[in-house]
Amino acid sequence: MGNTFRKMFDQLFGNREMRVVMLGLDAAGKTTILYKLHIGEILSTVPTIGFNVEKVQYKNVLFTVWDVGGQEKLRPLWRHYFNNTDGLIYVVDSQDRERVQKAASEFKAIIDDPLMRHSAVLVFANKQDLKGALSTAEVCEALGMSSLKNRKWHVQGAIAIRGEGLYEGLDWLANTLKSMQRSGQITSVTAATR
Amino acid sequence: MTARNLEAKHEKLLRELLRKPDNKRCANCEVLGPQYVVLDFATFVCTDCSGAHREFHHRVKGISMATFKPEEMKQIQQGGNQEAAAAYLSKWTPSEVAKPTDRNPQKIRDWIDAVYVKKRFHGPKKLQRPSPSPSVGTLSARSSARSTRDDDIPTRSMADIMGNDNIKLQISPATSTTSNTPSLMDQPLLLRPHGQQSPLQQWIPLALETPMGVLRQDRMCRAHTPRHPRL
Repeated sequence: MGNTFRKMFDQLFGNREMRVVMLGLDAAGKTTILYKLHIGEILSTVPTIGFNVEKVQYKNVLFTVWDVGGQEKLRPLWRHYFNNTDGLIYVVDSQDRERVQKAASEFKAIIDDPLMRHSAVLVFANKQDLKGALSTAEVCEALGMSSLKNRKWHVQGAIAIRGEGLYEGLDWLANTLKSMQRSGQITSVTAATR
Repeated sequence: MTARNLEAKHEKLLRELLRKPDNKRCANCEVLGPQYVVLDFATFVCTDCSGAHREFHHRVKGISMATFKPEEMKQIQQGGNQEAAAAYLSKWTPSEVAKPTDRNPQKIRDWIDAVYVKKRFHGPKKLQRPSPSPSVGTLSARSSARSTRDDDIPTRSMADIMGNDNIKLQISPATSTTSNTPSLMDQPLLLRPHGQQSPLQQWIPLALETPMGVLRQDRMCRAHTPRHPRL
């Protein structure tokens, strides 16, 4: 009964579910961001082997956020999370200048994947509080965002351990995906099943 | 060499390094079987400590899920827990700040902060302690094997506890009254009527011979005493 009302309510007021995958090099802050969004706390995290998945409600969008481990040998597994995914959250450690090129090449591989070609792209330029961190504009430049064609993207500066920038990013993602879907644009691709 | 071959070679090397006695335990909390390397200090640490190091923005790599560059491998080979301890724990005494062996996350953070960030105990590398006798080697190997289970007894080097001086048991030949036991064992045996010693008590005089023996005795007693009696 309650469930029926809930469904009607959701249809009327546009409560939507979105599937989001959160990727990035190891130690970028993905898991910290996930749990900050999910429970509002900073957990003491360890390197992720495999993935974490949580539902995050923001305004009237229910995001299912998949946070997949970022160590080298786990990166080939990322593509298995692309199916049916509306949004990509790519987390960059802005202080790690040494590996920003690596972050850029992994980023390019993701967004060029056929299963991700319609997804909205949110980049968190994380760890903005640290000395020597690349600015949001520098991260934008390093990832080659300006050369992206026909994509909805946004680079958001963030400090995950203080929660700064996270909801701003989520706000952009929610609004963008909603407006894309409202205008009839496809946001996710389902792999052909056989 | 192909990338895959190089990776395989590196992993084999890392596994070998992990078998060195000092790398068998986490550099911070001494838990058995560290699976991460902190590149900044070339130490081998456990999962919990790897997370704590990341909070300090130290570069951490998992042994099985990361790939290593040749220069990183070189660094790790030259380092290791023993080398790191020689430098970062040069002035450290266990009584001052205890290792976070209880794995309390805050204590682990405080330890990393004191040892690697503030470098409170950093100093010139101590020379290797005078060549340990073979019995020390077997002792530490045995004690670590025994504490793989939940009774994790913290291990410390003998010299830390006892100092480097050998303790000699002084026995005056005049006190020797029994004839069927070696003179070394006589003195403590006199405290009880003859024939009532438990096997353990018969051990004690033997253990007093050297500092190593004392600790061996101590360790055996503890290991044989169930800490959590079965209900």
